[in-house]
Amino acid sequence: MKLSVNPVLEKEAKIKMRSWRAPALLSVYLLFLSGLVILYFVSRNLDGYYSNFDPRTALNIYTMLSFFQLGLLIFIIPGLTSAAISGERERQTLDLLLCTRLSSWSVVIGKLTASLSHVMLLIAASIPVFSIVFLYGGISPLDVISVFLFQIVTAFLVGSIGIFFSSLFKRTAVATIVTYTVLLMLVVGTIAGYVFYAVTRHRLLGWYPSFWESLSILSVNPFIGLGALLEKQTGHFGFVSEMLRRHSTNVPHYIEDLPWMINIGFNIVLSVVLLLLSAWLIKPGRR
Amino acid sequence: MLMIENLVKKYGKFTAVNELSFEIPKGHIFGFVGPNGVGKTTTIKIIAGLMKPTAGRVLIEGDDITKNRRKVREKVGYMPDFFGVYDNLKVDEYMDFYCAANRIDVSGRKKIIADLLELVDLSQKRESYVDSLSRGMKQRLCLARSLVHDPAVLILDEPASGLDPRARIEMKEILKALQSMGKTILISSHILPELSELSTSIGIIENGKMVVTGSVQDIMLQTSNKRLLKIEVIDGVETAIKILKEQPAVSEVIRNIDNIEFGIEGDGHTVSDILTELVKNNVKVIYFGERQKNLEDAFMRITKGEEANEA
Ligand SMILES: Nc1ncnc2c1ncn2[C@@H]1O[C@H](COP(=O)(O)OP(=O)(O)O)[C@@H](O)[C@H]1O
Ligand SMILES: [Mg+2]
Repeated sequence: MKLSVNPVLEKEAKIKMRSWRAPALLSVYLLFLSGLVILYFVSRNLDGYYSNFDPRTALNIYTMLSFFQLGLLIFIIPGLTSAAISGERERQTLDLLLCTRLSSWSVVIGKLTASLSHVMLLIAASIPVFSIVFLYGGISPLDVISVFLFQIVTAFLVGSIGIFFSSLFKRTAVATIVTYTVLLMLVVGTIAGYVFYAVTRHRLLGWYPSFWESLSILSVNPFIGLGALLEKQTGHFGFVSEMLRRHSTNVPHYIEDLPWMINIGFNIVLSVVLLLLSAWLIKPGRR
Repeated sequence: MLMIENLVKKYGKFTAVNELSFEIPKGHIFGFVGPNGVGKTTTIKIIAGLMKPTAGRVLIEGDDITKNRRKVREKVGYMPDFFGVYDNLKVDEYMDFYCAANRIDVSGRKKIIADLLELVDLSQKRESYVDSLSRGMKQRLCLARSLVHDPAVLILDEPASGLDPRARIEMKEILKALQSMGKTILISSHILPELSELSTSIGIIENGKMVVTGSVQDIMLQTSNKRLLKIEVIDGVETAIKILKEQPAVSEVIRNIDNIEFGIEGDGHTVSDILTELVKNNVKVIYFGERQKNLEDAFMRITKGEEANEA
Protein backbone atom coordinates (compact mmCIF):
# COMPACT_ATOMS: atom_id res chain seq x y z
CA MET A 1 0.00 0.00 0.00
CA LYS A 2 1.27 3.38 -0.97
CA LEU A 3 0.60 6.19 1.41
CA SER A 4 -0.90 9.14 -0.40
CA VAL A 5 -1.73 12.58 0.87
CA ASN A 6 -5.32 13.73 0.56
CA PRO A 7 -5.29 15.83 -2.65
CA VAL A 8 -7.52 18.49 -1.09
CA LEU A 9 -5.11 18.83 1.83
CA GLU A 10 -2.17 19.16 -0.54
CA LYS A 11 -3.91 21.80 -2.65
CA GLU A 12 -5.10 23.78 0.38
CA ALA A 13 -1.64 23.76 1.90
CA LYS A 14 -0.10 25.02 -1.34
CA ILE A 15 -2.64 27.80 -1.72
CA LYS A 16 -2.55 28.79 1.93
CA MET A 17 1.19 29.03 2.20
CA ARG A 18 1.35 31.21 -0.92
CA SER A 19 -1.15 33.76 0.24
CA TRP A 20 -0.08 36.67 2.40
CA ARG A 21 -2.59 35.62 5.04
CA ALA A 22 -0.62 32.70 6.47
CA PRO A 23 2.51 34.63 7.47
CA ALA A 24 0.39 37.58 8.60
CA LEU A 25 -1.69 35.35 10.84
CA LEU A 26 1.40 33.69 12.25
CA SER A 27 3.04 37.03 13.07
CA VAL A 28 -0.03 38.47 14.73
CA TYR A 29 -0.53 35.25 16.64
CA LEU A 30 3.00 35.27 18.05
CA LEU A 31 2.74 38.97 18.76
CA PHE A 32 -0.31 38.35 20.93
CA LEU A 33 1.26 35.45 22.82
CA SER A 34 4.57 37.15 23.53
CA GLY A 35 2.75 40.41 24.26
CA LEU A 36 0.85 38.61 26.99
CA VAL A 37 4.08 37.38 28.60
CA ILE A 38 5.63 40.84 28.42
CA LEU A 39 2.51 42.37 29.94
CA TYR A 40 2.71 39.89 32.78
CA PHE A 41 6.28 40.87 33.66
CA VAL A 42 5.60 44.58 33.26
CA SER A 43 2.61 44.43 35.57
CA ARG A 44 4.64 42.59 38.20
CA ASN A 45 7.38 45.21 38.05
CA LEU A 46 4.77 47.95 38.44
CA ASP A 47 3.56 46.17 41.56
CA GLY A 48 7.09 46.61 42.86
CA TYR A 49 7.35 42.90 43.25
CA TYR A 50 10.94 41.91 42.54
CA SER A 51 11.63 38.30 42.78
CA ASN A 52 13.53 36.86 39.92
CA PHE A 53 13.07 33.33 41.00
CA ASP A 54 9.58 32.66 42.13
CA PRO A 55 8.37 29.21 41.00
CA ARG A 56 4.83 30.57 40.93
CA THR A 57 5.86 32.83 38.04
CA ALA A 58 6.24 29.81 35.83
CA LEU A 59 2.91 28.34 36.84
CA ASN A 60 1.10 31.65 36.35
CA ILE A 61 2.57 32.28 32.94
CA TYR A 62 1.96 28.71 31.89
CA THR A 63 -1.70 28.78 32.95
CA MET A 64 -2.25 32.15 31.37
CA LEU A 65 -0.57 31.21 28.10
CA SER A 66 -2.49 27.95 27.86
CA PHE A 67 -5.87 29.62 28.34
CA PHE A 68 -4.97 32.49 26.06
CA GLN A 69 -3.76 30.16 23.33
CA LEU A 70 -7.00 28.17 23.54
CA GLY A 71 -9.00 31.38 23.26
CA LEU A 72 -6.97 32.58 20.28
CA LEU A 73 -7.38 29.27 18.51
CA ILE A 74 -11.13 29.18 19.08
CA PHE A 75 -11.27 32.69 17.68
CA ILE A 76 -9.07 31.96 14.64
CA ILE A 77 -10.31 28.54 13.50
CA PRO A 78 -13.75 29.64 12.21
CA GLY A 79 -11.84 31.95 9.87
CA LEU A 80 -9.93 28.93 8.57
CA THR A 81 -12.90 26.61 8.19
CA SER A 82 -16.20 28.36 7.69
CA ALA A 83 -15.31 29.07 4.05
CA ALA A 84 -14.12 25.51 3.50
CA ILE A 85 -17.13 24.28 1.53
CA SER A 86 -19.17 27.43 0.96
CA GLY A 87 -16.06 29.11 -0.44
CA GLU A 88 -15.71 26.37 -3.07
CA ARG A 89 -19.39 26.78 -3.81
CA GLU A 90 -19.16 30.56 -4.15
CA ARG A 91 -16.08 30.20 -6.31
CA GLN A 92 -17.91 27.61 -8.44
CA THR A 93 -15.29 24.94 -7.97
CA LEU A 94 -17.31 22.60 -5.74
CA ASP A 95 -19.04 20.78 -8.60
CA LEU A 96 -15.69 20.24 -10.29
CA LEU A 97 -14.37 18.72 -7.10
CA LEU A 98 -17.39 16.50 -6.55
CA CYS A 99 -17.20 15.16 -10.12
CA THR A 100 -13.82 13.62 -9.43
CA ARG A 101 -13.26 10.28 -7.78
CA LEU A 102 -12.84 11.97 -4.40
CA SER A 103 -15.64 11.02 -2.05
CA SER A 104 -17.45 13.81 -0.26
CA TRP A 105 -15.94 12.39 2.94
CA SER A 106 -12.40 12.85 1.55
CA VAL A 107 -13.24 16.42 0.60
CA VAL A 108 -14.45 17.15 4.13
CA ILE A 109 -11.46 15.42 5.73
CA GLY A 110 -9.05 17.18 3.38
CA LYS A 111 -10.49 20.54 4.34
CA LEU A 112 -10.38 19.71 8.04
CA THR A 113 -6.84 18.37 8.05
CA ALA A 114 -5.71 21.43 6.10
CA SER A 115 -7.00 23.76 8.80
CA LEU A 116 -5.78 21.50 11.60
CA SER A 117 -2.30 21.52 10.06
CA HIS A 118 -2.47 25.28 10.08
CA VAL A 119 -3.46 25.18 13.75
CA MET A 120 -0.59 22.82 14.51
CA LEU A 121 1.77 25.20 12.79
CA LEU A 122 0.58 27.99 15.07
CA ILE A 123 0.92 25.78 18.13
CA ALA A 124 4.42 24.68 17.08
CA ALA A 125 5.39 28.31 16.60
CA SER A 126 4.27 29.02 20.16
CA ILE A 127 6.84 26.58 21.60
CA PRO A 128 9.55 29.27 22.07
CA VAL A 129 7.08 31.42 24.00
CA PHE A 130 6.02 28.48 26.14
CA SER A 131 9.63 27.50 26.81
CA ILE A 132 9.95 30.53 29.11
CA VAL A 133 8.25 28.44 31.76
CA PHE A 134 11.00 25.83 31.58
CA LEU A 135 13.45 28.47 32.83
CA TYR A 136 11.65 28.39 36.12
CA GLY A 137 11.00 24.70 36.41
CA GLY A 138 7.89 23.09 37.82
CA ILE A 139 6.40 22.32 34.42
CA SER A 140 7.65 19.44 32.32
CA PRO A 141 7.69 19.30 28.52
CA LEU A 142 5.22 16.44 28.83
CA ASP A 143 2.76 18.79 30.56
CA VAL A 144 3.07 21.27 27.72
CA ILE A 145 2.58 18.52 25.16
CA SER A 146 -0.60 17.35 26.94
CA VAL A 147 -1.96 20.88 26.87
CA PHE A 148 -1.13 21.15 23.16
CA LEU A 149 -2.86 17.84 22.48
CA PHE A 150 -5.90 19.02 24.41
CA GLN A 151 -5.94 22.20 22.33
CA ILE A 152 -5.69 20.23 19.12
CA VAL A 153 -8.71 18.16 20.13
CA THR A 154 -10.59 21.40 20.81
CA ALA A 155 -9.45 22.67 17.41
CA PHE A 156 -10.82 19.46 15.90
CA LEU A 157 -14.29 20.28 17.27
CA VAL A 158 -14.17 23.98 16.41
CA GLY A 159 -12.98 23.13 12.89
CA SER A 160 -15.74 20.54 12.46
CA ILE A 161 -18.36 23.06 13.55
CA GLY A 162 -17.05 25.53 10.96
CA ILE A 163 -17.03 22.92 8.20
CA PHE A 164 -20.50 21.72 9.12
CA PHE A 165 -22.04 25.18 8.81
CA SER A 166 -19.98 25.80 5.70
CA SER A 167 -21.62 22.73 4.14
CA LEU A 168 -25.07 23.61 5.45
CA PHE A 169 -25.22 27.23 4.35
CA LYS A 170 -24.65 28.44 0.79
CA ARG A 171 -22.93 31.62 1.87
CA THR A 172 -19.67 31.92 3.77
CA ALA A 173 -20.81 35.02 5.65
CA VAL A 174 -23.78 33.15 7.11
CA ALA A 175 -21.66 30.12 7.96
CA THR A 176 -19.12 32.33 9.77
CA ILE A 177 -21.71 34.17 11.84
CA VAL A 178 -23.52 30.99 12.86
CA THR A 179 -20.22 29.28 13.75
CA TYR A 180 -19.19 32.13 16.05
CA THR A 181 -22.63 32.15 17.65
CA VAL A 182 -22.45 28.44 18.40
CA LEU A 183 -18.94 28.83 19.83
CA LEU A 184 -20.09 31.68 22.02
CA MET A 185 -22.83 29.43 23.34
CA LEU A 186 -20.29 26.67 23.95
CA VAL A 187 -17.83 28.90 25.80
CA VAL A 188 -19.96 31.53 27.54
CA GLY A 189 -23.41 30.02 27.21
CA THR A 190 -22.62 26.82 29.11
CA ILE A 191 -21.25 28.70 32.12
CA ALA A 192 -23.92 31.41 32.12
CA GLY A 193 -26.61 28.81 31.58
CA TYR A 194 -25.23 26.69 34.37
CA VAL A 195 -25.11 29.59 36.83
CA PHE A 196 -28.64 30.61 35.90
CA TYR A 197 -29.86 27.05 36.28
CA ALA A 198 -28.11 26.58 39.64
CA VAL A 199 -29.38 29.85 41.11
CA THR A 200 -32.94 29.39 39.90
CA ARG A 201 -33.02 25.87 41.17
CA HIS A 202 -31.67 26.87 44.54
CA ARG A 203 -34.29 29.55 44.86
CA LEU A 204 -37.18 27.34 43.82
CA LEU A 205 -36.24 23.98 45.25
CA GLY A 206 -33.72 24.83 47.89
CA TRP A 207 -30.82 22.81 46.57
CA TYR A 208 -28.10 23.14 43.96
CA PRO A 209 -27.55 20.83 40.99
CA SER A 210 -25.91 17.54 41.81
CA PHE A 211 -22.26 16.90 41.10
CA TRP A 212 -23.02 14.77 38.07
CA GLU A 213 -25.39 17.36 36.67
CA SER A 214 -22.79 20.09 37.12
CA LEU A 215 -20.12 17.92 35.64
CA SER A 216 -22.08 17.06 32.50
CA ILE A 217 -23.12 20.65 31.83
CA LEU A 218 -19.76 22.28 32.51
CA SER A 219 -17.47 19.68 30.96
CA VAL A 220 -18.56 20.44 27.41
CA ASN A 221 -16.89 23.83 27.86
CA PRO A 222 -13.32 23.66 26.51
CA PHE A 223 -12.06 26.17 29.07
CA ILE A 224 -13.38 24.05 31.95
CA GLY A 225 -11.71 21.01 30.42
CA LEU A 226 -8.40 22.83 30.04
CA GLY A 227 -8.78 24.29 33.54
CA ALA A 228 -9.13 20.82 34.99
CA LEU A 229 -6.06 19.63 33.11
CA LEU A 230 -3.98 22.62 34.28
CA GLU A 231 -5.11 22.19 37.89
CA LYS A 232 -3.95 18.63 37.84
CA GLN A 233 -0.60 19.61 36.30
CA THR A 234 0.15 22.60 38.53
CA GLY A 235 -1.62 21.51 41.71
CA HIS A 236 -2.80 25.10 42.07
CA PHE A 237 -5.90 27.13 41.32
CA GLY A 238 -8.74 24.84 42.19
CA PHE A 239 -11.50 26.78 40.52
CA VAL A 240 -12.83 23.95 38.37
CA SER A 241 -12.86 21.35 41.10
CA GLU A 242 -14.15 23.95 43.51
CA MET A 243 -17.01 24.86 41.26
CA LEU A 244 -17.92 21.21 40.94
CA ARG A 245 -17.50 20.47 44.63
CA ARG A 246 -19.02 23.62 46.01
CA HIS A 247 -22.59 22.54 46.20
CA SER A 248 -22.24 18.84 46.10
CA THR A 249 -21.43 16.26 48.68
CA ASN A 250 -20.05 12.82 48.00
CA VAL A 251 -17.59 13.97 45.38
CA PRO A 252 -15.32 11.19 44.18
CA HIS A 253 -11.60 11.87 44.54
CA TYR A 254 -10.75 11.24 40.89
CA ILE A 255 -12.72 14.36 40.03
CA GLU A 256 -9.71 16.34 38.75
CA ASP A 257 -9.45 14.21 35.65
CA LEU A 258 -13.12 13.96 34.81
CA PRO A 259 -13.82 17.35 33.23
CA TRP A 260 -11.01 17.19 30.68
CA MET A 261 -11.62 13.55 29.88
CA ILE A 262 -15.32 14.18 29.35
CA ASN A 263 -14.49 17.25 27.30
CA ILE A 264 -12.16 15.32 25.02
CA GLY A 265 -14.71 12.54 24.55
CA PHE A 266 -17.46 15.04 23.85
CA ASN A 267 -15.31 16.92 21.32
CA ILE A 268 -14.35 13.81 19.41
CA VAL A 269 -17.85 12.32 19.27
CA LEU A 270 -19.51 15.59 18.24
CA SER A 271 -16.79 16.30 15.65
CA VAL A 272 -17.20 12.93 13.99
CA VAL A 273 -20.99 13.38 13.87
CA LEU A 274 -20.63 16.86 12.36
CA LEU A 275 -18.11 15.66 9.78
CA LEU A 276 -20.34 12.77 8.73
CA LEU A 277 -23.25 15.18 8.39
CA SER A 278 -21.10 17.57 6.32
CA ALA A 279 -20.10 14.77 3.97
CA TRP A 280 -23.75 13.79 3.61
CA LEU A 281 -24.78 17.39 2.95
CA ILE A 282 -22.38 17.86 0.04
CA LYS A 283 -22.86 14.40 -1.45
CA PRO A 284 -23.48 14.94 -5.17
CA GLY A 285 -26.79 13.74 -6.52
CA ARG A 286 -28.40 13.87 -3.10
CA ARG A 287 -31.19 16.02 -4.54
CA MET B 1 -23.07 4.72 -26.00
CA LEU B 2 -24.90 7.42 -24.04
CA MET B 3 -28.61 6.82 -23.74
CA ILE B 4 -31.12 9.01 -21.96
CA GLU B 5 -34.42 7.27 -21.23
CA ASN B 6 -37.59 9.10 -20.20
CA LEU B 7 -35.69 11.47 -17.98
CA VAL B 8 -37.84 13.57 -15.64
CA LYS B 9 -36.67 16.22 -13.21
CA LYS B 10 -39.04 18.20 -11.05
CA TYR B 11 -38.12 21.14 -8.86
CA GLY B 12 -41.02 21.03 -6.47
CA LYS B 13 -44.07 21.22 -8.71
CA PHE B 14 -42.18 22.66 -11.66
CA THR B 15 -41.12 20.11 -14.26
CA ALA B 16 -37.80 21.21 -15.73
CA VAL B 17 -37.14 18.03 -17.72
CA ASN B 18 -40.13 16.12 -19.00
CA GLU B 19 -39.81 12.56 -20.33
CA LEU B 20 -36.65 13.40 -22.24
CA SER B 21 -35.10 10.64 -24.34
CA PHE B 22 -32.24 10.58 -26.79
CA GLU B 23 -29.20 8.56 -27.71
CA ILE B 24 -25.69 9.51 -28.76
CA PRO B 25 -23.73 6.86 -30.66
CA LYS B 26 -20.02 6.45 -29.93
CA GLY B 27 -17.82 9.07 -31.52
CA HIS B 28 -20.63 11.47 -32.28
CA ILE B 29 -20.85 15.10 -31.31
CA PHE B 30 -24.39 15.77 -30.21
CA GLY B 31 -25.59 19.37 -30.21
CA PHE B 32 -28.11 19.89 -27.46
CA VAL B 33 -29.95 23.04 -28.44
CA GLY B 34 -32.75 25.06 -26.98
CA PRO B 35 -33.56 28.52 -25.70
CA ASN B 36 -32.58 29.52 -22.16
CA GLY B 37 -34.36 27.84 -19.30
CA VAL B 38 -35.65 24.77 -21.13
CA GLY B 39 -33.74 22.23 -19.04
CA LYS B 40 -30.38 21.75 -20.74
CA THR B 41 -28.24 22.38 -17.67
CA THR B 42 -30.55 20.26 -15.55
CA THR B 43 -30.20 17.33 -17.96
CA ILE B 44 -26.43 17.75 -18.07
CA LYS B 45 -26.10 17.86 -14.28
CA ILE B 46 -28.04 14.62 -14.06
CA ILE B 47 -25.71 13.00 -16.60
CA ALA B 48 -22.72 14.30 -14.63
CA GLY B 49 -24.13 12.68 -11.50
CA LEU B 50 -24.52 15.97 -9.66
CA MET B 51 -28.28 15.71 -9.49
CA LYS B 52 -30.75 12.91 -9.05
CA PRO B 53 -33.49 12.51 -11.67
CA THR B 54 -37.07 12.34 -10.48
CA ALA B 55 -37.54 9.46 -12.92
CA GLY B 56 -35.83 7.90 -15.90
CA ARG B 57 -32.41 6.48 -16.61
CA VAL B 58 -29.06 7.51 -18.02
CA LEU B 59 -27.17 4.62 -19.55
CA ILE B 60 -23.51 4.58 -20.52
CA GLU B 61 -22.49 1.40 -22.30
CA GLY B 62 -25.57 -0.17 -20.80
CA ASP B 63 -24.89 0.77 -17.16
CA ASP B 64 -27.40 2.97 -15.39
CA ILE B 65 -25.17 5.71 -14.02
CA THR B 66 -27.84 7.24 -11.83
CA LYS B 67 -27.50 4.04 -9.76
CA ASN B 68 -23.75 3.64 -10.11
CA ARG B 69 -21.89 6.78 -9.07
CA ARG B 70 -18.51 5.19 -9.60
CA LYS B 71 -19.22 4.63 -13.27
CA VAL B 72 -20.09 8.30 -13.82
CA ARG B 73 -16.82 9.39 -12.31
CA GLU B 74 -14.86 7.02 -14.51
CA LYS B 75 -16.72 7.49 -17.76
CA VAL B 76 -17.88 11.09 -17.80
CA GLY B 77 -15.89 14.27 -18.21
CA TYR B 78 -17.92 17.34 -17.36
CA MET B 79 -17.45 21.02 -17.99
CA PRO B 80 -20.07 23.22 -16.32
CA ASP B 81 -21.54 26.38 -17.80
CA PHE B 82 -20.10 28.46 -15.00
CA PHE B 83 -16.97 27.48 -13.15
CA GLY B 84 -14.18 29.04 -11.17
CA VAL B 85 -10.49 28.47 -10.60
CA TYR B 86 -8.34 28.75 -7.51
CA ASP B 87 -6.07 31.70 -6.77
CA ASN B 88 -2.43 31.01 -6.11
CA LEU B 89 -2.30 27.85 -8.18
CA LYS B 90 -0.23 27.40 -11.32
CA VAL B 91 -1.57 25.74 -14.45
CA ASP B 92 0.36 22.49 -14.02
CA GLU B 93 -0.46 22.39 -10.30
CA TYR B 94 -4.11 22.88 -11.16
CA MET B 95 -3.95 19.93 -13.53
CA ASP B 96 -1.98 17.90 -11.01
CA PHE B 97 -4.64 18.53 -8.38
CA TYR B 98 -7.41 17.16 -10.58
CA CYS B 99 -5.22 14.20 -11.53
CA ALA B 100 -4.72 13.46 -7.85
CA ALA B 101 -8.44 13.91 -7.20
CA ASN B 102 -9.07 11.32 -9.90
CA ARG B 103 -6.61 8.95 -8.25
CA ILE B 104 -4.15 9.00 -11.11
CA ASP B 105 -0.70 7.73 -10.14
CA VAL B 106 1.98 10.34 -9.68
CA SER B 107 4.12 8.53 -12.24
CA GLY B 108 1.48 8.79 -14.96
CA ARG B 109 0.50 12.40 -14.34
CA LYS B 110 3.38 14.15 -16.07
CA LYS B 111 2.62 12.73 -19.47
CA ILE B 112 -1.15 13.17 -19.13
CA ILE B 113 -0.74 16.82 -18.15
CA ALA B 114 1.76 17.54 -20.92
CA ASP B 115 -0.46 15.88 -23.54
CA LEU B 116 -3.61 17.65 -22.45
CA LEU B 117 -1.99 21.06 -22.21
CA GLU B 118 -0.63 20.44 -25.69
CA LEU B 119 -4.13 19.54 -26.91
CA VAL B 120 -5.67 22.73 -25.57
CA ASP B 121 -2.65 24.78 -26.60
CA LEU B 122 -1.63 25.88 -23.13
CA SER B 123 1.81 24.29 -22.97
CA GLN B 124 3.38 27.74 -22.87
CA LYS B 125 1.34 28.63 -19.81
CA ARG B 126 2.34 25.77 -17.50
CA GLU B 127 4.01 28.10 -15.05
CA SER B 128 1.37 30.83 -15.12
CA TYR B 129 -1.08 31.32 -12.33
CA VAL B 130 -4.51 30.03 -13.28
CA ASP B 131 -6.40 33.14 -12.26
CA SER B 132 -4.22 35.26 -14.56
CA LEU B 133 -5.42 33.42 -17.69
CA SER B 134 -7.93 34.92 -20.10
CA ARG B 135 -11.49 33.66 -20.18
CA GLY B 136 -10.86 31.57 -23.27
CA MET B 137 -7.72 30.03 -21.76
CA LYS B 138 -9.54 29.20 -18.55
CA GLN B 139 -12.22 27.54 -20.62
CA ARG B 140 -9.63 25.43 -22.42
CA LEU B 141 -7.89 24.62 -19.16
CA CYS B 142 -11.18 23.51 -17.66
CA LEU B 143 -11.71 21.32 -20.70
CA ALA B 144 -8.27 19.78 -20.22
CA ARG B 145 -9.11 19.24 -16.56
CA SER B 146 -12.27 17.36 -17.48
CA LEU B 147 -10.17 14.98 -19.58
CA VAL B 148 -7.52 13.91 -17.07
CA HIS B 149 -9.16 10.54 -16.41
CA ASP B 150 -9.63 9.88 -20.14
CA PRO B 151 -13.43 9.70 -20.02
CA ALA B 152 -15.35 8.04 -22.84
CA VAL B 153 -18.10 10.63 -22.68
CA LEU B 154 -17.58 14.36 -22.53
CA ILE B 155 -20.41 16.72 -21.67
CA LEU B 156 -19.94 20.43 -22.13
CA ASP B 157 -22.50 22.95 -20.95
CA GLU B 158 -22.48 26.04 -23.18
CA PRO B 159 -18.73 25.86 -23.84
CA ALA B 160 -18.80 28.68 -26.37
CA SER B 161 -20.77 31.22 -24.41
CA GLY B 162 -18.79 34.28 -23.40
CA LEU B 163 -15.96 33.50 -25.80
CA ASP B 164 -14.79 35.80 -28.54
CA PRO B 165 -14.95 34.45 -32.11
CA ARG B 166 -11.29 33.48 -32.14
CA ALA B 167 -11.57 31.54 -28.91
CA ARG B 168 -14.65 29.81 -30.31
CA ILE B 169 -12.77 28.64 -33.35
CA GLU B 170 -10.01 27.30 -31.13
CA MET B 171 -12.57 25.49 -29.03
CA LYS B 172 -14.04 23.97 -32.18
CA GLU B 173 -10.64 22.72 -33.31
CA ILE B 174 -10.11 21.03 -29.96
CA LEU B 175 -13.50 19.37 -30.03
CA LYS B 176 -12.87 18.05 -33.53
CA ALA B 177 -9.58 16.59 -32.32
CA LEU B 178 -11.38 14.96 -29.41
CA GLN B 179 -13.97 13.49 -31.73
CA SER B 180 -11.23 11.97 -33.83
CA MET B 181 -9.91 10.38 -30.62
CA GLY B 182 -13.20 8.53 -30.35
CA LYS B 183 -14.83 10.53 -27.58
CA THR B 184 -18.58 10.78 -27.45
CA ILE B 185 -19.44 14.43 -26.91
CA LEU B 186 -22.53 16.33 -25.88
CA ILE B 187 -22.47 20.11 -26.24
CA SER B 188 -25.29 22.37 -25.21
CA SER B 189 -25.94 25.79 -26.60
CA HIS B 190 -28.75 28.23 -27.04
CA ILE B 191 -27.18 29.44 -30.26
CA LEU B 192 -27.72 27.22 -33.26
CA PRO B 193 -25.11 28.24 -35.82
CA GLU B 194 -22.44 27.45 -33.23
CA LEU B 195 -23.42 23.81 -33.33
CA SER B 196 -24.53 23.26 -36.90
CA GLU B 197 -20.99 23.11 -38.25
CA LEU B 198 -19.62 21.03 -35.45
CA SER B 199 -22.25 18.51 -34.51
CA THR B 200 -22.87 15.20 -36.16
CA SER B 201 -26.38 15.21 -34.78
CA ILE B 202 -28.60 17.67 -33.06
CA GLY B 203 -31.46 17.57 -30.63
CA ILE B 204 -33.72 20.53 -30.08
CA ILE B 205 -35.24 20.74 -26.62
CA GLU B 206 -38.11 22.90 -25.59
CA ASN B 207 -39.83 23.02 -22.21
CA GLY B 208 -38.01 19.93 -21.01
CA LYS B 209 -38.98 17.86 -24.05
CA MET B 210 -37.02 16.85 -27.11
CA VAL B 211 -38.78 18.32 -30.11
CA VAL B 212 -36.63 16.85 -32.89
CA THR B 213 -33.44 14.87 -33.12
CA GLY B 214 -31.37 13.83 -36.07
CA SER B 215 -28.52 14.90 -38.27
CA VAL B 216 -28.38 18.52 -39.33
CA GLN B 217 -29.69 17.59 -42.82
CA ASP B 218 -32.41 15.37 -41.34
CA ILE B 219 -33.69 18.16 -39.20
CA MET B 220 -33.91 20.54 -42.12
CA LEU B 221 -35.78 17.94 -44.13
CA GLN B 222 -38.09 17.13 -41.25
CA THR B 223 -38.98 20.68 -40.60
CA SER B 224 -39.72 21.65 -44.16
CA ASN B 225 -39.76 20.24 -47.66
CA LYS B 226 -39.93 23.72 -49.17
CA ARG B 227 -37.11 25.52 -50.84
CA LEU B 228 -36.38 29.06 -49.84
CA LEU B 229 -35.86 31.54 -52.66
CA LYS B 230 -34.60 35.05 -52.53
CA ILE B 231 -35.02 37.73 -55.20
CA GLU B 232 -33.76 41.24 -55.51
CA VAL B 233 -35.44 43.73 -57.80
CA ILE B 234 -34.60 47.35 -58.60
CA ASP B 235 -38.10 48.20 -59.77
CA GLY B 236 -41.59 46.76 -59.36
CA VAL B 237 -41.43 45.42 -55.83
CA GLU B 238 -45.18 45.76 -55.35
CA THR B 239 -45.92 43.96 -58.62
CA ALA B 240 -43.45 41.22 -57.72
CA ILE B 241 -45.10 40.60 -54.37
CA LYS B 242 -48.54 40.60 -55.94
CA ILE B 243 -47.47 38.04 -58.56
CA LEU B 244 -45.74 35.83 -56.02
CA LYS B 245 -48.78 35.76 -53.78
CA GLU B 246 -50.93 34.66 -56.70
CA GLN B 247 -48.83 31.55 -57.36
CA PRO B 248 -50.25 28.38 -55.76
CA ALA B 249 -46.75 26.88 -55.25
CA VAL B 250 -45.48 29.94 -53.34
CA SER B 251 -45.96 30.56 -49.65
CA GLU B 252 -44.60 32.77 -46.90
CA VAL B 253 -43.67 35.79 -48.98
CA ILE B 254 -41.54 38.06 -46.82
CA ARG B 255 -40.56 41.55 -47.89
CA ASN B 256 -37.18 42.55 -46.53
CA ILE B 257 -35.44 45.89 -46.92
CA ASP B 258 -33.56 45.03 -50.09
CA ASN B 259 -34.97 41.67 -51.09
CA ILE B 260 -37.98 39.38 -51.08
CA GLU B 261 -37.94 35.89 -49.65
CA PHE B 262 -40.46 33.17 -50.24
CA GLY B 263 -40.89 29.45 -49.91
CA ILE B 264 -41.71 27.29 -52.87
CA GLU B 265 -42.91 23.73 -53.34
CA GLY B 266 -42.08 22.09 -56.63
CA ASP B 267 -39.26 21.32 -59.03
CA GLY B 268 -37.03 23.42 -61.28
CA HIS B 269 -39.84 24.05 -63.77
CA THR B 270 -41.99 25.68 -61.14
CA VAL B 271 -39.08 27.91 -60.14
CA SER B 272 -38.29 28.89 -63.71
CA ASP B 273 -41.98 29.61 -64.48
CA ILE B 274 -42.08 32.08 -61.63
CA LEU B 275 -39.03 33.94 -62.92
CA THR B 276 -40.58 34.09 -66.40
CA GLU B 277 -43.80 35.44 -64.95
CA LEU B 278 -41.98 38.16 -63.05
CA VAL B 279 -39.94 39.27 -66.05
CA LYS B 280 -43.04 39.22 -68.31
CA ASN B 281 -44.66 41.69 -65.93
CA ASN B 282 -41.75 44.13 -66.16
CA VAL B 283 -40.30 43.44 -62.76
CA LYS B 284 -36.60 44.34 -62.96
CA VAL B 285 -34.97 41.30 -61.37
CA ILE B 286 -31.29 41.64 -60.55
CA TYR B 287 -30.95 38.56 -58.40
CA PHE B 288 -32.84 35.33 -58.28
CA GLY B 289 -31.52 32.45 -56.25
CA GLU B 290 -32.01 29.79 -53.68
CA ARG B 291 -31.22 30.79 -50.15
CA GLN B 292 -29.23 28.25 -48.18
CA LYS B 293 -31.48 27.10 -45.38
CA ASN B 294 -29.70 26.99 -42.09
CA LEU B 295 -30.55 25.49 -38.79
CA GLU B 296 -31.83 28.72 -37.44
CA ASP B 297 -34.75 28.54 -39.87
CA ALA B 298 -35.53 25.08 -38.62
CA PHE B 299 -35.18 26.23 -35.06
CA MET B 300 -37.49 29.18 -35.54
CA ARG B 301 -40.01 27.02 -37.38
CA ILE B 302 -40.01 24.35 -34.68
CA THR B 303 -40.30 26.65 -31.72
CA LYS B 304 -43.01 28.66 -33.46
CA GLY B 305 -44.91 25.45 -34.12
CA GLU B 306 -44.83 24.58 -30.46
CA GLU B 307 -46.29 27.88 -29.41
CA ALA B 308 -49.04 27.53 -31.99
CA ASN B 309 -49.97 24.13 -30.64
CA GLU B 310 -50.20 25.43 -27.11
CA ALA B 311 -52.35 28.39 -28.02
N1 LIG C 1 -32.28 24.45 -8.47
C1 LIG C 1 -33.40 24.84 -9.12
N2 LIG C 1 -34.56 25.01 -8.44
C2 LIG C 1 -35.68 25.38 -9.09
N3 LIG C 1 -35.78 25.60 -10.40
C3 LIG C 1 -34.67 25.44 -11.13
C4 LIG C 1 -33.42 25.05 -10.53
N4 LIG C 1 -32.49 24.96 -11.50
C5 LIG C 1 -33.12 25.30 -12.65
N5 LIG C 1 -34.42 25.58 -12.43
C6 LIG C 1 -35.41 25.93 -13.46
O1 LIG C 1 -35.51 24.86 -14.35
C7 LIG C 1 -35.59 25.32 -15.69
C8 LIG C 1 -34.50 24.73 -16.52
O2 LIG C 1 -33.27 25.29 -16.15
P1 LIG C 1 -31.90 24.90 -16.82
O3 LIG C 1 -31.78 23.42 -16.82
O4 LIG C 1 -30.83 25.67 -16.16
O5 LIG C 1 -32.13 25.43 -18.30
P2 LIG C 1 -31.08 25.75 -19.47
O6 LIG C 1 -29.76 25.20 -19.09
O7 LIG C 1 -31.67 25.08 -20.67
O8 LIG C 1 -31.05 27.23 -19.64
C9 LIG C 1 -35.55 26.84 -15.62
O9 LIG C 1 -36.87 27.33 -15.73
C10 LIG C 1 -34.98 27.13 -14.27
O10 LIG C 1 -35.52 28.32 -13.75
MG1 LIG D 1 -27.96 26.28 -18.93
